[in-house]
Amino acid sequence: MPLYNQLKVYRAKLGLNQAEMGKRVGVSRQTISLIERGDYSPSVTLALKIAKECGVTVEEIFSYEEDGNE
Amino acid sequence: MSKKKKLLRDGLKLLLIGVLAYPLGYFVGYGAGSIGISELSLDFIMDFINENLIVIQLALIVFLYIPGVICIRKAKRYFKQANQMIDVEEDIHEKKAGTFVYVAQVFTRFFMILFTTLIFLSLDLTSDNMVIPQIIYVVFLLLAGMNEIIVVRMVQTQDPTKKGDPISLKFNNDYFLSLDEAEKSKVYKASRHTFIFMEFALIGLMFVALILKIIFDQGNGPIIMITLAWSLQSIVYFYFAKKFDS
Repeated sequence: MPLYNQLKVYRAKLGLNQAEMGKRVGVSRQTISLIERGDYSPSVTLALKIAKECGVTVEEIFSYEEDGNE
Repeated sequence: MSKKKKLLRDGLKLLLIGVLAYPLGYFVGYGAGSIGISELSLDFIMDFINENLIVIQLALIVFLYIPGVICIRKAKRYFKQANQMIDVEEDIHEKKAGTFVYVAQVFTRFFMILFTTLIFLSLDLTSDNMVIPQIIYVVFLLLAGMNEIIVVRMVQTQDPTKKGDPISLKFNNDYFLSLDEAEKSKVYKASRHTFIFMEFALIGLMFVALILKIIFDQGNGPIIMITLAWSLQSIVYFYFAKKFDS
């Protein structure tokens, strides 16, 4: 899936672990882990919540790149 | 490809499936009957179950119930270790606990299914030998039910956002509603795969029921039960498909 993210970087800047970040945006630690690894694409609502918590725009955390084969 | 050609192609595919399936059904059914194996009986299975009922019950307890209990204990231990970890990131203990919870649920579920099937198969109210197996059944079914509750409570203690009273009839719905979007997505995927699989499985089971009728003289009971299950699944599916469409 060509969706990349910088969540781990922004989370580290805030000094939060995955569980704390999950609690702030209303999801489990495992979901934050899945998003960071790129195994799960969050909904628009969750992406906006994460961006708001990090104090940046959604585009700064999540980026979509077209696959070369497409 | 034009619509007409597509329709023709699909029709030919269905015809081909029918042409291949018909002789198969014919040979299994009428073929088997004509060569005399319609006299085969499944009575020897029932005789074996009736003669060894308590031994089979004990085997199910040893191979399914006890491993389930062991897995619950291991999960409890790993959850405890996970809670003692300062770094909660990518916690290996939590993952191991999750695996043991999953395995415990699988063991407990199959124990309950097979234990119930066994007692239903052997249920004979005229027999005096049924008292002890029935007591064993009730006690261990209760214990297995308790294990399911223990597992849910353990998960809820670890993650207090997970709601639902495991004894309540609304538990599945309440628990599902308390999941986050990624967890719900997993449930959707599992449900979709289960539904697609069951559509094929029911056709397969209907075929097995036909063989049971023709070869083993088991009557129309299995066919009727599978028809009911198939119809019920279809009715529930169409009901919710319409409900969520509007």
